[in-house]
Amino acid sequence: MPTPASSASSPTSPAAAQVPNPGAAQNPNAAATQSQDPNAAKAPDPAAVQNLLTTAHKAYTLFPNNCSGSVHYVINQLVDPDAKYLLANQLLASFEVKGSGWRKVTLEEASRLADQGQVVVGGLVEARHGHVVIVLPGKWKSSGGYTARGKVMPHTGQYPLVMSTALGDWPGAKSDGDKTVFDPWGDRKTFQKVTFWTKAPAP
Amino acid sequence: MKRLWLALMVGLGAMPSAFAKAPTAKLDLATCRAPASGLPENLAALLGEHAKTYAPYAVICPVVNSRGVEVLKILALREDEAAAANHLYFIHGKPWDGVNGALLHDAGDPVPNPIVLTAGDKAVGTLPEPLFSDGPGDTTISFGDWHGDMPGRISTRVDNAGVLQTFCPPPLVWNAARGRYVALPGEEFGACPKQP
Repeated sequence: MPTPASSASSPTSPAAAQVPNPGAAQNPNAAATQSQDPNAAKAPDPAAVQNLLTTAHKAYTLFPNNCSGSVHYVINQLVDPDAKYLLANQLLASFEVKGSGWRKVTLEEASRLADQGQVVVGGLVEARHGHVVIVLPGKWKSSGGYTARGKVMPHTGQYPLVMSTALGDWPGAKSDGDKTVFDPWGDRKTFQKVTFWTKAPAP
Repeated sequence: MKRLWLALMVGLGAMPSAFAKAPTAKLDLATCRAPASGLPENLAALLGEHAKTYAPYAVICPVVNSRGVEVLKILALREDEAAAANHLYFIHGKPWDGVNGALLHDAGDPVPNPIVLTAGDKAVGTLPEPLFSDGPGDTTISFGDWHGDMPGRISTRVDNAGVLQTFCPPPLVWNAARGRYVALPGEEFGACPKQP
């Protein structure tokens, strides 16, 4: 199934190779950060980007109702073939362990890394299961715009795209690259607490 | 038999007032109103750095005891309305451009949560969740463990909160030594206690 994310990286719409982040271009702080960051100038690796998109799409189809399953699949395929399956809360806790090799990044950096084909996991611990997602490369889009419980969710800015699966019925948490990293939570205050993690080397 | 009925009737007659001393009231958001003559300066100051921008979106919600007397108030923002007018979010003191969501995530200024006030406008606590969020989630605030006319416990429950579904942050309990409501330890997105 073609997805906005996969089409975004096609030759006819090379969004992943374009300026991926329209907000950063308008934001002097982000521009300054980018200019100091050697990764910012790094050209995206089209094969790595395509690999991330393909793997994330496969994870979405294999584990449509299991966020930790889909994220584990991506980690297993692209980061660590020996990675143990962990539930979302456990996975996020494992990132925090010293020596795990995972490091916390800003959303700005998360998007930049995804545009280079690197795996970035986003997530939030919650009492029961928590939720984890994979940040996708490509042009950002506005959050919201989908209907949930009879209401069209408002736009709350532009965000990177996301691969997200979930057991519950919240439509914002089901994304094969057609929604943003904001949409699973759908609320600014909650989303500010979502953390992003990568094993990619620090710049 | 007549005596038994009489005793039963007297007992039942006494019940309402006995129960009335320990009600669990829920905050009725429909009663929240913008202050008639604008938000007084002392209350606006509680809204922090961006008080001037937020003040037009401030509402006061009365908390009444079983006799209908206002014992507390909640000062809250109509975050939904402020966000729609692009007046809710700031980045390091400057209005957010409404575009770069990563900037909001990484560096957004905190938006003040609802503040618990005494009837005399003294701030005595902060609720953990907004009452009028611009996102999904229906917030219910309950007042329980009444001691005389004052609730000893303020509980928050958020339903339909996106992928989080339903959660209950730790409740606030009255701490006499500190003279304010203080959150019990616990998970921010905690499981809700089972309904009795």
